[in-house]
Amino acid sequence: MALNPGTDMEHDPQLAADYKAAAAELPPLALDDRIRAAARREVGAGPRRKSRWLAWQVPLSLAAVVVLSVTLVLMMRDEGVDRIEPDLPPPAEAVAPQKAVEAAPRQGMAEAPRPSVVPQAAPPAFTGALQASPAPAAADAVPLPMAKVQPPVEPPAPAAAAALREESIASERNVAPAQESARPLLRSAPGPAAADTAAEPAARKAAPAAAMSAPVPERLLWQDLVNEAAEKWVQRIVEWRRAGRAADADALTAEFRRRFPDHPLPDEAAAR
Amino acid sequence: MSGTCGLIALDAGATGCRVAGPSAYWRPVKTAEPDDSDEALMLAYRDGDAGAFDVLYARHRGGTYRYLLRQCRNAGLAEEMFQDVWMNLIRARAAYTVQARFTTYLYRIAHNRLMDHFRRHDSDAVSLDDDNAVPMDEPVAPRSADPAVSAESRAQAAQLLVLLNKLPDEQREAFVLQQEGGMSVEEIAEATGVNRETAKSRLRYALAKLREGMQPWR
Repeated sequence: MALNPGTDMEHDPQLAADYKAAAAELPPLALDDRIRAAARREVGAGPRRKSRWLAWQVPLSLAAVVVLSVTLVLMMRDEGVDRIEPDLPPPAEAVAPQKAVEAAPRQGMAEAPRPSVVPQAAPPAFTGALQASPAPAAADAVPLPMAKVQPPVEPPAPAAAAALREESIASERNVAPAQESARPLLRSAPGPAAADTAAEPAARKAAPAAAMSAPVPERLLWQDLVNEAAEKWVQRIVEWRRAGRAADADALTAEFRRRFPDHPLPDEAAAR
Repeated sequence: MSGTCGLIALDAGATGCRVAGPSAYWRPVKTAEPDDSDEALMLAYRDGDAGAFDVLYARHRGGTYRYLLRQCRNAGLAEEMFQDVWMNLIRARAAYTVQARFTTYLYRIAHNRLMDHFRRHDSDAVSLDDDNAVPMDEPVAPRSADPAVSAESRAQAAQLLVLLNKLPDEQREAFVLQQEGGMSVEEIAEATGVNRETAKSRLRYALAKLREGMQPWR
């Protein structure tokens, strides 16, 4: 194999010149145009930019997460008070609403204050009083609309007890009309036996809120009479009418008639 | 062509300036110039200068086409693959970075396209029934033959093409890459995916056979 002068093993100028003379093929012009047009189109399209939605997707998602988290925390904090507080052990003074109800008639109705709608106002001086102990009794209560949770109040000094009692009675009178309007509901509520079965879930559900704020339900007024004979009920109604507790006596009368529809009611008890 | 056209946002209508992109507001865009390197032109095209592509295409359209034509020896098929190669380049422009000479990059794309075709068609690229098929032993007459070129020169060129067609594919490819792409042995090796020694050997064999075949013309 003879090499051309001036060539090396990987280069041959003579062959290159020959090839250059021979290589004249070109792509068709139409193909050129197509490719150039495609190149311009690609550039005209520009870099693929994110759509506005894609650009805002991450910030919006983060904002939504933050808002939801804050809302959830706030809601849980609000609801958490209602859920946690009923689990707290009841205060010592609040143990015996039932005892209070039992004791009240014996001590004389004038001295036994009615359940108050302002439980936080109950001072230690009223330990035996009904108004100081809403929590356990409310478990049997007919669920009332959600009431605001009242923070516990420091018990007032013994010296202020008398004044507070006066104030409490006065406020009780102011609240009385509201209680009157609520009574039809209470009267139509099922009796204790039924309440334990049918209304139990609802009552249990409503208990925490009601326990904190609701007045002692009227059923407590006759709770100690539940297992008593009709005569006892009549006797209580008469006592209350004499004591001037007309509203309570009316409620008790209605309950009496519901329980003992065939039992005669003396005029003294029925009279208003 | 002018040089730097300033901030594109202010000069988007100027020749060769690209459409404003997100980064155009802080980076001036340089338009392509005829004496720019291939790599600079490709970078300019990547950045949106359509004029750069035109320059680049004008430089390499013949070489790429002839490379494909020599290897598949079918004009219709060569045109199809030629279009694919350039379309691949256009589509890949956004990811282009200078890692080698542009010709190496371009012919690598072309080589891969050829390999795809051969794999699909079991290396049977030539169909004898095809009107576009280039007969193996007949020289291809140059389309734009210069009248001044003597008949003897044309005959000599035709003989070279005949010899070239007779070469094994790999040796022919090495020679054509050297001639059309102006590539060194290393670049041929890179474009064809073989080591340097293999590329060198292929090129040497090709040159030797061509020299031998052209001996009567010297």
